[in-house]
This record gives sequence, C-alpha cells and structure tokens, in this order.
Amino acid sequence: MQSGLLASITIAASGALLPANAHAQTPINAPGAMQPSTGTGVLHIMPMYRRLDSFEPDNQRSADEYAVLAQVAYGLAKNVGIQFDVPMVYSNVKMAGGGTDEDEFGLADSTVLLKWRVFQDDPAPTETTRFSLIAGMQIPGTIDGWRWDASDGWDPIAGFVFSTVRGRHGFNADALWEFYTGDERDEGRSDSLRADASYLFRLSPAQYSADTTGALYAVAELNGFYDTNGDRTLFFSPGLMYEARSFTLDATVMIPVHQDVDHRPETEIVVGFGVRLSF
Amino acid sequence: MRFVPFATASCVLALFTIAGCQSTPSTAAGAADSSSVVAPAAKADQPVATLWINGMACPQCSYNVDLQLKKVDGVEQVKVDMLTGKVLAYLSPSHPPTREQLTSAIADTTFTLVRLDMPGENPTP
Repeated sequence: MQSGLLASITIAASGALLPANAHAQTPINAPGAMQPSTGTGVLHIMPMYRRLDSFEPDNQRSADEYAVLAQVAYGLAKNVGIQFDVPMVYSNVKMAGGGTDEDEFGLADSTVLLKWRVFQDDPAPTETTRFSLIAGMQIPGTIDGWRWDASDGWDPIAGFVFSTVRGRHGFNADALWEFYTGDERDEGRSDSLRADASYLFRLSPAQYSADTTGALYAVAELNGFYDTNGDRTLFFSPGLMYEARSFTLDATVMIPVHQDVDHRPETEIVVGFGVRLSF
Repeated sequence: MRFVPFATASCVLALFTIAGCQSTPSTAAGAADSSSVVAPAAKADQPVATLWINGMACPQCSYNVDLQLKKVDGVEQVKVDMLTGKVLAYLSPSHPPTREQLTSAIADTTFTLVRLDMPGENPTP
C-alpha cells in the first residue's frame, strides 16, 4: 500500500496532484508558480494511459489503466488561486497465467489546493520569476478494492513551487509533502514527498510579436516520488505543449528511470494528452 | 504496450501540425517599435490608453490582460504586443474609463503594470 500522493502521481501523469497550471513555461506533469488572473480560470482535461506491472499478490498482476483527469484552476485574488483535481479511472487488471481479469471504474482520490504567491519579480515584458506556497487536502475517492492508491485519509498537503521564465527558457521546481492521516500505516501507507524539476524551451516563435497567437514548447521534466515507507520512483517525462491565447494542447510520456517500490506496482509507462481551456 | 509509441507519435505530429498552422513567425528587431502594435480598426478620433506591462511570458498571459481590460466599462478593444509589453486599450469616446479603473484591472491580473499613458497625456520618456 502506498499513500495517495504517490498514487495520484501515478494516476496522474499530468493531473491528479496539482500538475498543470496553464500559463507560460510551466510543466505538464508538475505544478508551476503561475496562476489564473482574478476571476478567470482554466479547465484542464487530460485522457491518459498507464501501464502497471508486477504487483501483489506475488507480483502476478499487471494492469492497463485509462484515466481522464479533470482539473479546474481559478484565480481568487491577485496572489491567490485555487485548484481542484478529479481523476476518473478505469482499470483492467490481469493475472499472470490466465487468471480472471478484474475491472474497476470510479473516482480516484481528488485534491483541492490553494496556491499563494509570495514573491514575484517581472523585470521585462516576457520575463518573470515567481515563488508560491501551496496548501491543500487530498480527498478519498469512490474506488477502493484492490487499488493501492485509494487513500482512506483526508491528507493535508503542503509545499512550494518556483518558476522563472527568461525569454525562450522556462525553469520550474517544486516540492510537496503529503501527510497521511488514515488508519492503514501498518499496511504500508505513509507520508509522501513529490519533487519535480522541469525545463521548457519555446520552439516557436523564436521571438514574440504584436501578432503572436500561439507558442510551441518542448518540455523535459524529472518527476520524483518518495514515500516514507521506502518506495521511490523517478520519471523522465518529455513532452510537447502548444499554447494559444485561450487554449493549450499538451502531450507527455512519463518514463521511469528509477524504481524501488515494495508497496505498489511498478509503472512501465504513462502517456497523456491534454487540452486546457481558459474561461 | 504497442499503443504507446503509436499514440505518442500521433500526438507529436498533431501538435506540430497545429503549431504550424497557428503560430506566427518572429518579427524583426524593429518590432519593438510602437508602430508594430496595429490598431484594430480604431476610429480616427478614438482615445487610446497605452499600458506597459511586464511578466507576460506567454500567449495566455496576453489573453488574461485582454480579458481583464475588456471587463472595464468604456474599453472597446485591446491590442497586446507581447514582445514589448505594450498594450493599447481603445476607449469609448463618450464614456472613457479613468486611470484608476485601468490600473485596477491590471492589478487583477498576475502581471506588473510599469506605466500607463492615458489619452491626451504627454507620454513619459
């Protein structure tokens, strides 16, 4: 068993736990320090596929998982935004040796998060540096059963995120801690930490103009997840993002480059495609 | 697993196609000149406020500025030059908004207003 944060990530190649924001060179699978203006919002819908392998009992199970992540970010004030993440998941679990398949469908754990920007420096028209504090809560979903990522606790989340954009280059870093509050610590659930770093390069246009209506970015992310029960995973996640004035399209692949897990499945790969709409 | 490379390739192709259709080419260095902000069919005598804004690092940033300014009563059209951060707000000749209204609108964005020249004011050098 593992805590929900780590689980959400797995579900969430790009959404469940506070990933996408939607502005500027912020990453696809991790938070950024940008947020919508007051009274405006961004809806992010991301269908995704995840392949899991070698999990209990006796490493005989594998699973194909299809999820749709719905995320709404809304600007409450100049420096404060709120974000809801709701993942809907369908899983098909297979047993090695021809065992009976198992299906599951429902809402996985959701999150609600407040982001408070405590530092902002805008030295030039297209340059900015921002630092935000994040606090929120993970909310148990409706699915449970065999799932390792259906938390029984309403877990507080706290962390920070840093973003800076310098011309065509964007850098982001964040760390989020989830405090497990459920009753299943003896089953392996624990507190968890996620930490991400990302670089985004604006492929086109090389220079903005008065007529710019869109921009294409190459994305490279490192997404790290650590549970205090000892589980840890590091993903390398390349992607592409096209940002127009009122919508964004993104695509990402999460590739595990290091996994040492005893309380949850190994992730073979995660693929996600997303669209974000401003309102 | 065969799904993965196919889906990834399809998505990458789709993104590049969209970008090719919609992104605009870069402009010459001279784009920084104020003349690069083309007035969107403004009337000859229409008052225009000029705002200089920092931190608009993306197309959606400019969209946010556009949305907030258009919420102000008396703002009819907005044109944003992302390269220079220069924003032209075309105002109603009969009931133009005040400086305070425009300043307040930008305060609701997540960007920094550097300068605001109202119609009839002498621009600060």
